[in-house]
Formats: sequence, structure tokens, C-alpha cells
Amino acid sequence: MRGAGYVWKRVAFAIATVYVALTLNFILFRVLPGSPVSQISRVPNASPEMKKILTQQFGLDRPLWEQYLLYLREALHGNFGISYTNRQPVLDNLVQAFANTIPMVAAGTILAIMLGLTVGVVSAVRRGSATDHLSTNIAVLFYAFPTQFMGMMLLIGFAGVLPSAGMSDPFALDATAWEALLDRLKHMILPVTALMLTLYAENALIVRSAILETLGEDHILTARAKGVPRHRIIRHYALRNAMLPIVTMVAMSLGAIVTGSILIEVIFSWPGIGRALYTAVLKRDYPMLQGGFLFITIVVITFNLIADLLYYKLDPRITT
Amino acid sequence: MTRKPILAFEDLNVWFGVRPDNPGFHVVKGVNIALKPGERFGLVGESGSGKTTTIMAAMGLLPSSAEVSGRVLLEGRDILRDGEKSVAPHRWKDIAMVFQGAMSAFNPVKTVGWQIAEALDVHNVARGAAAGRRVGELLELVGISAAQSARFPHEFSGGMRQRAMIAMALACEPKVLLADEPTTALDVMVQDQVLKLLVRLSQDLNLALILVTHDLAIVAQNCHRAAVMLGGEIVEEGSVSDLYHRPQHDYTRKLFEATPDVFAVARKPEKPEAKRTPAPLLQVSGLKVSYPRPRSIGEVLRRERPEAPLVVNDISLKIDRGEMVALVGQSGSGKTTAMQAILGMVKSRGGTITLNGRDVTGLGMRDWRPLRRQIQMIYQDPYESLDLRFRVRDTVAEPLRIHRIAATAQEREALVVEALERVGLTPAVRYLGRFPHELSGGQRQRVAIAASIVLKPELLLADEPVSMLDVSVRAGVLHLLDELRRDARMGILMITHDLSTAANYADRIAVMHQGRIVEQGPAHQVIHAPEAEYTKALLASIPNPDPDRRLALRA
Repeated sequence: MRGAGYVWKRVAFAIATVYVALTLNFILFRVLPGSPVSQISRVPNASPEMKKILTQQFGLDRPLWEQYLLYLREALHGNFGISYTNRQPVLDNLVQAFANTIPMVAAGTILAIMLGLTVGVVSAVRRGSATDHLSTNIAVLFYAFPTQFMGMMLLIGFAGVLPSAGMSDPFALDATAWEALLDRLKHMILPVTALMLTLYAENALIVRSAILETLGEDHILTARAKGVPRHRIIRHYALRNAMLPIVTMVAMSLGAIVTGSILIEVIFSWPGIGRALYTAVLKRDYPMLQGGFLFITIVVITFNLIADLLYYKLDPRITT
Repeated sequence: MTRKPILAFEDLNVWFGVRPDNPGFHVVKGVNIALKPGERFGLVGESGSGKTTTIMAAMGLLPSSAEVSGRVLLEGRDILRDGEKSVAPHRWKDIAMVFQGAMSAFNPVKTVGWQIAEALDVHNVARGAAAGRRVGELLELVGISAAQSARFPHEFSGGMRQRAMIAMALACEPKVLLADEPTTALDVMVQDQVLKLLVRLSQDLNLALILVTHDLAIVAQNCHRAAVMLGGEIVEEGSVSDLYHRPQHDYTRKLFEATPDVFAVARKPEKPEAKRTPAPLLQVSGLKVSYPRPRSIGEVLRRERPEAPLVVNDISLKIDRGEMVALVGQSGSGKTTAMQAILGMVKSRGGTITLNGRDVTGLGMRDWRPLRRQIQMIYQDPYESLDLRFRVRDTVAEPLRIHRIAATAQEREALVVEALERVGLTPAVRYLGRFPHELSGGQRQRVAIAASIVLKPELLLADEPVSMLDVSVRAGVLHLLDELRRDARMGILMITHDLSTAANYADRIAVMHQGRIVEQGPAHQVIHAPEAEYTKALLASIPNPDPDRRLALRA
């Protein structure tokens, strides 16, 4: 098969990156001032004995390399420690929060990509027309809105009509599965809309310029001379070639969504990964932060890997 | 010849950018061409002469800002009458086209076979297995094996891609083929193959062919009749033999004069040995260069260090003061790498380079710096080599600033003016304040040369100095280099793919092939008594502006 080496190289590279991130994560929290012991033992009258016991309990009296090996071993087993705030394993907290985030972020992103693609293609094909000017200007306007502003505006406009906080109605106790799903979908409308509106604009602008660029290439002229119908040229020539830059940029922005969702989740009180990290920062919940950072790193790396592999699939010229 | 024309342009006019308040640009002015079945017609002109616009009009492929008047008759029917509706049915079925950019005329993400089959599909010629068979036949017709149809365009060489393009153009058995600079980006031997293919196909299939090109020699060798375009008008039309022997228009004459004839090289008088200084200006002996590629993981683990292939393999050259040496070779022959090694930009792997008797092999960047005054470059593309935000004055003065020459601004200005007048930009005052976009291509190249000679170097390295320029300005730039050689006694190493240019201007020619110099000697000797097989093959593939030479060379 063409360049199976390419796939392996990318995967190995991704794994190596995760390892480096894991190590940096370890170093970061050793370098930061303060230790978990001083944090926990900040109760009045904490005795030196108690501090000593805590230090032993956390393994902080051992040499650094041993701590590092221990850390790697535990991380590989999915043990990232116990959250200070709710005394639950960090992994469980993260998985729970992530499971809440995924449907909302995925829906918002997919809608944003679909809307962005449509708007981008239409305005590129009708370049210079009123449609193009209108949609490009609207996209620039939305691109300029900060996420929190968009969220606030939606809250102000729709707070009475649609649920504005949380992801389910706390009073619907004996709801059937169907009712619960409907309730969840209703709660999703505002955050998903906010996410979609802030993301679609960037996609639309990227798609528009990528397609305009490919439309100017010589092979488009060849296709026109060949008598290939317009819609076919747009699909098989313009869009197909424009997919290469689009995939890269969309994948890169996908990685940033997890962090970007912090604002959305805080505004709409969505109990997802963004809000979990936000509270962890406020409460100085170091294990949660450490786990969360690692989590975000892995998500970003995974999306980049997916982009690389897709790119390879889309572009026959890539061999190494 | 009483046959009816298959394709005729009648009083064709094209304007671009016409608005109620703006008359626009009149780019094609009253063009009349009548093409008979099986006839090969050359449309010659320089960039901006409207030759491509003319044939694009026949395909209905002009941008929407274009306004067209006149008629384009295909077998007597006006195909432009109802706009898109009347052109569309004839595209590719009756009139097909081969484009200039052999590199980019194919969709890079689809296989060549898919793209040829698409032409069959959209015109309802064949589908499925039948289309696959037809694609194979078409490829075989242009000398590509049918199995190659599953390949992607980037897996083809430039010549193969252009032949595949021709195969695609023939897919629906058109009656007319329009070829827009079909061989411009190709090496001369590949160009020869592609042109021979076009001629053979036009004979075998009774295909009428319009060959659009800037190269008169190509037309002289491959066409029956030709028209010369200038500023949107056809200034002269006739048989290629008439155009060559009895040109009526000054411009035609000028074009033929500017088209070098490789066999016109005269024996130059040998320079007396006594005038030569003992140490030559530049002496290269046994130069070797390779580009090491990064080792694969397997090779690192096995501790292997594979020998990188030599890009420049054991070349020796000598240039004296007042001498022009041409290094001739096709793309990939290693000529540019050799030049970069001489400049110390690329590390050499063996051999020595002496400049003015001083060994400069392997010198570091810091040691090179003072030597750069003696050796200067002229690049191929004056559109790329000049900084668009620099005025002419700043471009030419920059080397003076870097080498801290001239104490005062007045002195510097005087040197800049001198250099500009030297390269023929007179009066210099008119050019000092201009930006590159306010200059023509030839003027840009002159500014680039001025920036090179302002330091009064002894050695000039010119990398394809005229290949991006229009034919009529080429001669001027080459004459300028010749003057610098003669009057300022500069040594010039000119790198070129064009043996004809080399033959007409260089004292000596070195022919390079696959990293080696296969032949080296005085220009007339290399041309008239070539020894290496490669030189002979190269000479045989150069089109000659004299149409009568075709019979002698093309058996």
C-alpha cells in the first residue's frame, strides 16, 4: 500500500507527543510554588507530624525519578489521583464531564462545519455578487463576536422561551426516557446555537478562500473546456481540492473547541469538561487540573492525527 | 486547395472590462483566420498580444468581463451567436484544447484515467468498461501504456503529462485542436517529442491544429501557415516559408532576428594567448556535489550511511576575463547546483574552486563576504528577484551599502546612475524613483543586472537570464551581457537550457548531462562538430527558424 510508513510515522509521532505532554505535566506541577501538603494542611493548628504523614502518604519524600516512574505507572492505569473538591477519582470526574460535553460540542461543531461549508461554497461560487457580500460580511460580524457576548445575547433574547441553564430539568423526576431526551435536546438548543454561530463564520471564510483559490487553477479551465457541467466542477475539482486546507484548519480548530467550550459551559451552566476545569482553577484542585490538561492535550493531538490521516487519504501526492 | 474552412474567425474583437463609463481594453482587434481540415496553423506573438484570448474565444472560455464581437464559424455555423448555449455542444466534441501548464492542467487528486473517462462520460461517448477500453486506446495512441491510466498526474513526467493531455483532447474525436503553448515548460528534447506527436496525429486523424506559441522556430518546423500577432492585431499572415524568406512587416523581421539560429554560430577569432593572465578568473576542477537525504529510521538503527547520488559529478570549468562560457543542460542536469557550489551556497563534496588564483573551496560565510564583491549573480525571473517595495535606486544601491562602498550619499547615487546607464536605462534619472511594477520585463532584468554590476565584479554568474523574457527583448539583454564581457572585461558564466542562445553569444560551451560535462569546447566546434551522442541528440531536437531545414533534419 502507498506509504504505510506514513501512517505509522504519524501514529508514532502522536504517541511521542502524548508522552512529552505527560512528562511536562509532571514537571509543571513540581515547579509550581506550593505543594499539595501545604494546601491540604492549611487547617488551623496543623502539626508538623501531620504534614510529615501527608508527605509520606503522597510519596513526596521519595526521590524525584521514583515519583516520576510512579506517576507514569499510575497514569497508564488511568489513575490521576483524587479530586480535592469532591473526593472522587479524577478520571471518573473527567469522563463524566467529557460525556456531558461531547453531545453539545459535537452538535455545535458539526452544524458549524455544515453551515460554514454551505455558506463558503455559495459565496465562493457567486463571488462578487450581492449574496457573496452579504454572507461574507455577516460571517465577519459573527467571527468578531466573542463567545461570551454571543452567549449573553442568546440568554437575554431566549431565556424565557428556552431553558437557559443546566442540561436537564431538575424537577422532572419521573420522566420517561423519551421525555428526558426531549428535555436534554431543549437544553442543548441555546449552547449549541452559540457555539455554532461563533464557529461557522471562521469555517465559512476558510472554505470561501480555499475554493476561490482552487477555482483559479488551470485544471478548472481544463474541466470547463472539457465540457464538464458546473456543479460537477465545483464538487470534483474545486471542493475536492479545497478539502485539503479545509481539513487541516477545521481539525486544528476542533482541538481548540474543548478549551473554547469553557466560556459556553460557564455561561449556560453546562456540567461539562470546560466548567469542570473552570471550577478546578477556582478551587485550586490540582489533581483535576493536571488530569484536565492532559486530557485536553490528548484531544488536540488526536484531532491533529485524524487530520494528518485524512489528509493522506485525500491527497494522493503524499507519500512520506 | 478549395476545401471549405473547418474553423474560421471572422472579424473577431474582444474587449475586457467594458463599463458604461470605461471603454475597457481592446485586446483582440478584428482577427480573421481560416483553418482548413488537417491544416496546422501557427499563431505567434509575445505575451499580451492577444493570441491566447483569440483561441479562448473560440472555446467560449473567456471570463465574464470579456465582450466579444465578430463570428467564429465551425463548418460554416456561427458558434458564438447564442453565447454559452451555442458553444457548449461543440466543446471537446468538435474543438478540443491542450493547455500550457502541463504541470497543473490535470486535477491533482484524480487519476489520469478518471479524467480522460470523464470527458467520454460527460459527452455520452462511452461509460464503464467501454470507457476504460477507450482510455487505454487513447493513451496508447500517444505512446503511454494503457496500464498507466490508474496513475495520478504527479506520477507522470512533464512530457508524459502533456501527452496524456493530448490523449484527453482526442477523447471525443474533435475536428480542431487548439494548443496553447503546449511545450513551453518542457525540455527541448521532450518538446520535440510532443511536437512530433502533434504533427503525426494531425496527419493521421486529419486534425486541424492551431499552435499558439511565442517561438517562431516551433511554428516554422511544424506548421503550414502562420499569423504574427502584435497588440491584438494580426500584422502578417502567410506560409511559414514566406514569413521566413520574405517578411513584409518590420515586427516579423524583428522576431526572426531575435530567434537564434543554432547553426548561425560563426567561428570566432581565437584570442591571442599572450593577453591571458596566468591565473584564470575562475577555475573549477573535479567539482562534486550531492544532496544528502535524511536517513530512514531503519538506516539509523542499522548504522548505515548510504552514499547520496552525485548531483554534480566531477565537472571542470575555466573562465577567463572577458570570456563568456555557457553551461547548457536540461532541467535536472545539475547546472544550477554547480553554480550554487561555485558561489559557496552549497557544500561541495570534492574538487577545488579557485577564484583569481585563490582557493575558495569550503570557505565559511564570513570569509566569503569580502569575495562576494568579485562574483555576482543574475537570476532567471526578474519578477521574483526584485523586491517589490524597493525603488530602483534602493535595489541598485543595496550592494553598495552592504559592502560599505561610497562615503557619501552623492557618491553612492553617482555609482547607481553609472550602473543604470551602463545597462542601457538612460537617462537614469527617469528610472531611479520607480518601483518594479512600473517597469517592463526587460527593464526589470536590466535593473537586476545593474544591481549586480554596480560593485564592478569580475565574474558574473547568470542563471537563465533571458528565459522569462519575451523574444524581442531577449536579444537586448544578451547584447548587454556581451558588452559587459567585451568592454568591462567581465567573465560570465551563463547557465541556460537553450543551446541556440549559447551558440550565438558564448565563446565556449559546456554541455551538461546527468551531473557530468559531456562535451566542452569553442561554440562553433560544439555546434558543428559535436562529439558526444547527447550533444548530437540535443542539436537534432532544437527547432530551427528556417522552415527549409526541416526536411534535412526531420527524416
